[in-house]
Amino acid sequence: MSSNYSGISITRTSLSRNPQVEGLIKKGAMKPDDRPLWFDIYRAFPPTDEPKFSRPKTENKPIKQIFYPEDVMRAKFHAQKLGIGTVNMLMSTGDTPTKKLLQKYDKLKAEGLSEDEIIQKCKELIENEKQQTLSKRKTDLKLKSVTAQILTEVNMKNIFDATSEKENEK
Amino acid sequence: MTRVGRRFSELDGQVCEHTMGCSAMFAHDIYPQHKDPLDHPDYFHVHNLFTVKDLFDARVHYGHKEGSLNEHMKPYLYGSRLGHLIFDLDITAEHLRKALNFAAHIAYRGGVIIFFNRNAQNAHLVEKTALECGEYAHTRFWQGGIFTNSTRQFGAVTRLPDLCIFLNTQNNILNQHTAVRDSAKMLIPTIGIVDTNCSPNIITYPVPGNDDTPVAIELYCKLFKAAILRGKEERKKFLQETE
Repeated sequence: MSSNYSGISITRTSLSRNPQVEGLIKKGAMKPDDRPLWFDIYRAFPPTDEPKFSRPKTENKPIKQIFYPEDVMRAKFHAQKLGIGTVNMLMSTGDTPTKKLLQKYDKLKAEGLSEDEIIQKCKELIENEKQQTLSKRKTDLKLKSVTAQILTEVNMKNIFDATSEKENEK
Repeated sequence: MTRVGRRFSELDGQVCEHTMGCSAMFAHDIYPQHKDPLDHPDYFHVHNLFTVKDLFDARVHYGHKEGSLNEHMKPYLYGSRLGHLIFDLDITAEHLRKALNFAAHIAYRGGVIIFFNRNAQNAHLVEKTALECGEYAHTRFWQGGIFTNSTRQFGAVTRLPDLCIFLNTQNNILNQHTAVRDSAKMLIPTIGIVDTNCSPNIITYPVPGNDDTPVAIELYCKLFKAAILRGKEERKKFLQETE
């Protein structure tokens, strides 16, 4: 394979033409009736860029770096190890930790707090939230398990006292 | 190489005189009540198959890291987010619509379409898609010469496909799929999803986009299937009307 072989077309006059097939037809190597099935479609809807192995080199422009104004604050939060958490991409459960932080930041900023104060406050808020969710999960787990449900009904103090159980039944 | 395209004139048993630049051999010229689908910019309405938001939700915009960038993919990029390349989905949408339109037209003319994919994770999905739209798939090791030496390999003159759709164009992270090159050699048009580390050069209709994520592949499969089925449906209608 030569390094300069081309794809669908070798040389061209215009994009909508396929010089290889057109050349074959023109010179009689291919009958017009035998032209490939895609030939007319290709002519009607030519590709945006000509398919060619040696495409012209692209402009040597630097790649645009994507940044947002809130990235400054994001970096400050991350420096305090805030807003760093795993994100489940299979099940989107609302906003990412960083986005939640930035929303809090906007809210507190509107109240007129300074940046350091906001970071400190966010730290506390997050700690509180963590504690709350943890305790909630614990109580949820407790309520859900079968053992827990049975234990709530049992009189733990007199567990072997048959008489008290009978009384209870009555 | 003999690859004779099936044409409507054959189907109708009519032979028309052909002049270059004129498609007088197609049935819509014999039956003037049928408009030529090629005159319509989007005959199969493939533009309404997806929106840019759908592409975004399917994570089509994610490319590889900057270091593995193929220089020819630069015009399709939006930028780089902390080292990760991001595709411009407006450009992707334009290319994808063009590719879907082409696929639908090929299906309308009764062309043979084959899907390619060398990612084991998505292989079953691609094969299933091909089956569902009544076309073919090749998701395993490509034995060289299937296209270029088909008469020898199959022991008879073989009808090659009329369109190859590559859901990823790489064999592995380093090498391009041999069928991309072989299709170009055999004058078979190709549609290919090209990631930032792939070369779009010899693919007829390259579609810049993420070719790794299963969600993205699912979307491409869904779209190509829909486009092909639309083409086939129109073909069926056309054949029924002209009978």
